[in-house]
Amino acid sequence: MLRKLLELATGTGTLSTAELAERLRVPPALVGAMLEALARDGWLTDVVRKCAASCQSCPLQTRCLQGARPRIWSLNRLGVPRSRSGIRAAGD
Amino acid sequence: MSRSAQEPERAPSAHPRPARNGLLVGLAGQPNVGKSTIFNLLTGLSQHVGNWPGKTVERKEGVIVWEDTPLRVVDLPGTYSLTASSTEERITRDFILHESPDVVIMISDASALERNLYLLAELLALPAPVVLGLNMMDVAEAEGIHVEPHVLTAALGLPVVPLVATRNEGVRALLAAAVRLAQEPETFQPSRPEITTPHRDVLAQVRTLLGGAVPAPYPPGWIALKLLEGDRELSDMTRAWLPAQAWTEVATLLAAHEDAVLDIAGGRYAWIGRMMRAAVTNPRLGRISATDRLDKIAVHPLWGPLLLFALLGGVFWLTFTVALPMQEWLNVAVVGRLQSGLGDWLDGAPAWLAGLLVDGVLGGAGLVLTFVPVLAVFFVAMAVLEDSGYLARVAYVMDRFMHLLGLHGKSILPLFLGFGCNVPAVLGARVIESQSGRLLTILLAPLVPCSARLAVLAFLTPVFFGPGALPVAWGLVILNLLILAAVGVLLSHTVFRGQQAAFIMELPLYHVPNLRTIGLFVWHNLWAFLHRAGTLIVLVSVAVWALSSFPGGQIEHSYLARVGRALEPIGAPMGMDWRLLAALLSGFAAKENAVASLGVLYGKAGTKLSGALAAHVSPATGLSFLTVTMLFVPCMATVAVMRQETRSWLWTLFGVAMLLAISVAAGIAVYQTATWLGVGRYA
Repeated sequence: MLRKLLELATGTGTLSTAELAERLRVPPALVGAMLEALARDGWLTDVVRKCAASCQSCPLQTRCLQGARPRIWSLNRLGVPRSRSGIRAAGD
Repeated sequence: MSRSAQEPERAPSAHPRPARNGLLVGLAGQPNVGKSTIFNLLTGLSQHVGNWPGKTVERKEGVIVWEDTPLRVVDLPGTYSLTASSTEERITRDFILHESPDVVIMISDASALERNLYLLAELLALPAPVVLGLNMMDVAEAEGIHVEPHVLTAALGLPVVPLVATRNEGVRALLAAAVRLAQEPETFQPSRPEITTPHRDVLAQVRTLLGGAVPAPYPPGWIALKLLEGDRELSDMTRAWLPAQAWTEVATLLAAHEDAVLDIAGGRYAWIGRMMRAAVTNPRLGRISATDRLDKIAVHPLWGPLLLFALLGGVFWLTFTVALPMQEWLNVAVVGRLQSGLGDWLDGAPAWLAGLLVDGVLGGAGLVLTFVPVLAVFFVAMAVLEDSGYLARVAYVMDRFMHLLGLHGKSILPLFLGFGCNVPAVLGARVIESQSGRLLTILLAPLVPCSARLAVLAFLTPVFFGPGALPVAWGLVILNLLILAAVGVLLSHTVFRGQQAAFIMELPLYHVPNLRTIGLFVWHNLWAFLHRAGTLIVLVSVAVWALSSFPGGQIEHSYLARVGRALEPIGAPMGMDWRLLAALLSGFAAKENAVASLGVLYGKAGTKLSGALAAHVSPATGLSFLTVTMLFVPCMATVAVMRQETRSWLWTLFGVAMLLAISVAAGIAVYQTATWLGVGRYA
């Protein structure tokens, strides 16, 4: 299922979790859980969370229109999840 | 059950379950599921707190007696999975492997079951019977999520107990189920996730290569599974256990199947999906259906952009029908009267002083202050659209649009901020990892029409175009975005060739906007505007007045006129005289200054600015002026941030020069086309 999710995300540019849920035939919340897991394992980057961290000390935060941001993930370099690089090194 | 299931193979018999007085119970679960509350309810005052051996993580355990059976309950750290990526995960799985609890109680949040069941899937791969406690059943019901514990019991093949820990409901039943299972472990026959193809066979191969080298208490099948998942700790341990040749074969196999984790974890999620379908009904059905229905239009490839442009038009319509009459009233009844009263009061004062205060300060900065209703409408509209969840859809619709044009997908985030102010848009480019993508976004950010430029547009279009203001304003914003897209395509295919980022967006549910949130947003933004109007805009207004009044008091022979006339060769093809050029340049300090300067340069001698402008500026020139204003070099705060973020004067100047060229070219094109179409020549 995760493989299919990544394939869908890779092939069509931008996708919403609702679209992914529809295509995978699972509840949207489950897609959210899968995305969080993929982000933890290094396949995806949680873009907005990264941004939100920098907003805490941002002097412009009161002027920022993105208070209720969509949660956004971007794909890392395909086929090279960060968490696996150590295994390859261990195997070499 | 097939061998492809992620079931625990028995550990070597050299490690039998230790003999102990009573039962050992592990309490597991993700963070924030109410595990500690349940631990406190179970153990009360009999808790002992120490540290896990060799770790700084707290180990809490307590002893209770249940129907003459002593139970030692250990509160395990909150974890999302068991793949040794954190100390907490290592502690949890080491506890199960090394201390062999008689039963593990896993606490889950019933309102977010799909996020919690992954840990259960991992626990089921370890050699310990598990009872599932469904905590926060009240929260789930309140959110419209109906979980059926008995169905889940049947589907999972293990005891499932509903709980509301905050009300001490179900805790005794949970403990009873745990003790029963611990005393009859042979009854534990759960349904486990399976590994999806194509990595079932690879798992079997790894298991075969491990042979009998895996020591107790580790189940070899689980070790094989974790190796395929990329578990670094177990990988190091396995290398030490295996002969060199066998490890090389295992490592080669693992390296060739780095993506196996997708099939293993994917199998677990497919299993979670099945459990959810079986036991959870109507998850947030009402709100999701409403959101889905609205999104059929809001994020549709065709209707989505059309809705966006229609809403943009609606905001302008609201500005023209609600805000501009108020702005006009403020201009006449407040600023006009103040000018007249101050002029009378300064009757005997030096002419320069009266001119400075009446024409410079009130005629410039005072006029800009009347923008407050216009900006208030913009900010209220933006806040309502944002807080309702719609603006997130705008990001989605525009992102897809940008992908179609070959732009960097991530650019939409910072560019989107540009509608409020270009400064955070430039700063927001930090979210883009690649330097070329970041640079491209910084260069494009000033092309997003900020609220100050939109306010200038809203103020001036009715002056130049009367009843035709709405389509002109709307069209200019669209033109702005089209030029942004065109420049983006051009740069991304020439200067910044690079890989596009694939994106997944989780769009929030629609909801009724919160009045307090809207109020705070509008207040913060209006206060920032008033602060700017009281400082920077006053200074620039005074400077423009001084340059247009000296030497001699004749505007036509002023310093400003001399500078402006020197620039007229550039302004002529755009239909602009020196006054308009000066107003345009003054916008470099802050975009609202363009109007303040027009107020100083055209609004003298008690005449109304709108009347004076309509008399002196033709529609073709007005259109050209507005086009250039929308595309011109950004304000100096934005330029300063561009320099800070690019760390390069070269790229900053490139950006400024590019915008200058684009705005002048667009101004010439618009003026010449409008004149050719007979809209009117420069008066």
